[in-house]
Amino acid sequence: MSRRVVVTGIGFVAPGGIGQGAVWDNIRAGRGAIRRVTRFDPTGYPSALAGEVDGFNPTDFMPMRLARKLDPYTQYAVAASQLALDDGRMDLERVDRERMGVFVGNCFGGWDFTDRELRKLHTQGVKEVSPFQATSWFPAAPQGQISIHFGLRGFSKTVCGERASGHIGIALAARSIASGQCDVSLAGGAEAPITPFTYLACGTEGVLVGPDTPADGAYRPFDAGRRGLVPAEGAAFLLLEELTHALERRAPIYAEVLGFGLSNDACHPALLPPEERHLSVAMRKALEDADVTPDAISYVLADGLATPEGDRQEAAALRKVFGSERRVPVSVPRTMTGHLYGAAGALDAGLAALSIQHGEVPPTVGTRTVDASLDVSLVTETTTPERVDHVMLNGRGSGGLNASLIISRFARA
Amino acid sequence: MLEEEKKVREVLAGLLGRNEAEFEPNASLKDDFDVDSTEMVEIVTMMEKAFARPLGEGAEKKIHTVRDIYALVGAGAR
Repeated sequence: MSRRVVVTGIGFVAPGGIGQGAVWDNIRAGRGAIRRVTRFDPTGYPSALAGEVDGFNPTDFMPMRLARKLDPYTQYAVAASQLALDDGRMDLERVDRERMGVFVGNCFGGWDFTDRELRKLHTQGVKEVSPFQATSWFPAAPQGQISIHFGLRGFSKTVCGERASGHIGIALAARSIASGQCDVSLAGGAEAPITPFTYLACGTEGVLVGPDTPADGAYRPFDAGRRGLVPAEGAAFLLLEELTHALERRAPIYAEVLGFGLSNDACHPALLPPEERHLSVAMRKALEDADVTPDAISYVLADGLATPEGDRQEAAALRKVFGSERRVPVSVPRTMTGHLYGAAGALDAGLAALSIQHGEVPPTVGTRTVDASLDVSLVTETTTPERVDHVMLNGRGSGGLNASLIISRFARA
Repeated sequence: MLEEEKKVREVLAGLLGRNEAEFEPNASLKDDFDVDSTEMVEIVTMMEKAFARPLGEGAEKKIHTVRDIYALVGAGAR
């Protein structure tokens, strides 16, 4: 028997704000946070722009003794989890933590910590490397630290699904609740790729904007002059909860996780397939899983890779699924924060839930002239439709992974 | 208090985020301060730096109390 899964808390640590309220206010106002990299000197790199988190003090969320053992991406994850728990008014003393899980999407691991320790290893020797290196760098570090910090012992998992990691993490968490493996889960993603090595790795994939691109309007998906994405750091977590559990404790309910689809192009480690084939498959699977028709989708939070081929294929997938008759509204609010890679899907899921609550569609900024050949109805200003019922969220990763998630208005019936 | 003992307490206080006064000679690092095996490795490394001498192979396994550190750094336990 499948149980219903609702979103009862949202926590963001993102470029442009800490906390769901601050991030939502900036997103709906169209305020971008992309700028030249300040974490290191990007001169000579294939790109020079990023979305960076400002004003984050880890000791606002954890003791210094713990904070100094963690890479920033784990600090962001623990903080965003705390914010989601607070937002959802979750009293951990009154919940069965044996049935509370943690699902985290991540691509890169902890390379701020690792960059520093590798430098010590190669210049000063083995003895100088931090003993915490072993537990700070690997992709499951946030899941482990969140579990330990909050004492959560339920069914948990780390998802490394490239830029679709966050979508998949939320979907798997929802399924673990729906299937009865746990009742509550912290689900999201975390990344801190603005380090010399990881930023270079992002750049060598060939999907970033060039080094001379001005920050204003740099990330412009579906634009005739699109030039690639801008990477970003941060974390986003949702408190997911079985419906009865949420109702019994009178939790705030933002939305419901209704459907998920996953597919794989299986073509190349970094390149897209020659033609769109499997993103549309993932989108159709999500609709089927949610038991809603394409007409019911209020708008799509697109992957918006912003490369010529990436957007052409996503536009083709949109036409295949929604037909050429209906031009479904499409938005890419991560044009303001930058692309959070393994956390991007979680940020979008939180924005979708807030969008449903506020009855607004968040905008895409940066795009000036929509590529007419794509035939995409891009939302470039915050709009207030009659209702926001179902939001489709797309994510694509290198290696051909395609994920589609549907977040919906909660209805009691 | 010997200068060396004061230095041991300073290092411990910095690493564990506690007050120097809490590090009584008989205090157990594991039981009283929740020090785990990884933190013990760091404690040994930082003591070796602070005293500019190696504490010897497997020093982290010989340390249970603050007094054990005094002994290893040659501060003399009192």
